[in-house]
Amino acid sequence: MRLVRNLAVLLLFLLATAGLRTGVVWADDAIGYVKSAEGTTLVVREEESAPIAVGDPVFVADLLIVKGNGSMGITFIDNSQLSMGSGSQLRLTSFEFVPKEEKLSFVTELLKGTLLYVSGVIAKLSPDSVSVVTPVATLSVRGTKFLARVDD
Amino acid sequence: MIMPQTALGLRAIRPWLAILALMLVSACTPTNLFVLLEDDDGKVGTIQVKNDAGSQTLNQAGQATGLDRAGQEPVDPFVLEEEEIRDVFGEALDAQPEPTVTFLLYFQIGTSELTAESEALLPEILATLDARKAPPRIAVVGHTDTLGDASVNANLSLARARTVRDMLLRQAVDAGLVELTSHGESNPLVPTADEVSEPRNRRVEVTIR
Repeated sequence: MRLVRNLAVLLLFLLATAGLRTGVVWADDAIGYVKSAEGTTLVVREEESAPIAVGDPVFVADLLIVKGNGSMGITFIDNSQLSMGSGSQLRLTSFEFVPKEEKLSFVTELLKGTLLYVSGVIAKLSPDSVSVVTPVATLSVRGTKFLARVDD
Repeated sequence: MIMPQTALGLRAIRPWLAILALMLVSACTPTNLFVLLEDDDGKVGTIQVKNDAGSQTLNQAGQATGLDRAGQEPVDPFVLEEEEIRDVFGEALDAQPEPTVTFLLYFQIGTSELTAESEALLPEILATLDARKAPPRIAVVGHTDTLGDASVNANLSLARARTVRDMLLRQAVDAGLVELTSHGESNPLVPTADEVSEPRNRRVEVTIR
């Protein structure tokens, strides 16, 4: 009995560390999902660039890219929605959604391109914790829908 | 003899005049541009656009500000015409995901048994799932009212969420799309004192994203 339990613990430990080593991101940490994608859509995650498609999860620190002509739309777990047009780059800098512990924040960075921002529950519960950073100005968001274009 | 020629000349350059006018309008629009829109529910919020050189606040739908180069002050708010908004932001606007839809399902007092009215909502939930263009995510969140012990209610809210999840899975909804959570009595829809029976708080929220 004890041997079996020890083996089970060891196996779990190995699985967990294997996950850490290979940089596997568990779907539980997903902060949103891609809902629309056209053209070449990429994600830069842990310094590696990969295609991202409809149905795929997104995570904190992801850099989302619409390369050339195209678009991409994401719905987040707080009901926020962000969508981008051609030649856009958006970083998901921080996302905390634990209302019980009052951990609430949503910061994104629009490096270039066009963005439609539809705010969700985080902006409703904690307006001061929501912002969009761009190379030319920072936007504070109070429960709303807006557009931003950043030209390089 | 000259008149028709002048008219002809004018007609010939008219398209160019239109393009010139459009270019003049575009030239006035800052390259870095921020536009406030009306929320999907009809309300209008606020955004503040700020940098080291200054700040502007937008609080009316269609209002815009912006700047051409880093370090410049955001310009005074101006109204951006619908047509130009489409012109610049059409792709991003068209890529907006389908709206989130939430269903509230209610339970009989102290049990994880749905009310008849709520059970009757199942076809509508399934129809909403079927109509989605992108694979939906389904959040199933259980709650109770404040009547009874908090730890009992924690279990009850979980049991309620499971009831609804199992109901969906029996209808061939993919288990991988469903996320189950429960909040016990800590997240009432209608705030009440402790030990209050409130039918509207005995619920499971099904959110389709």
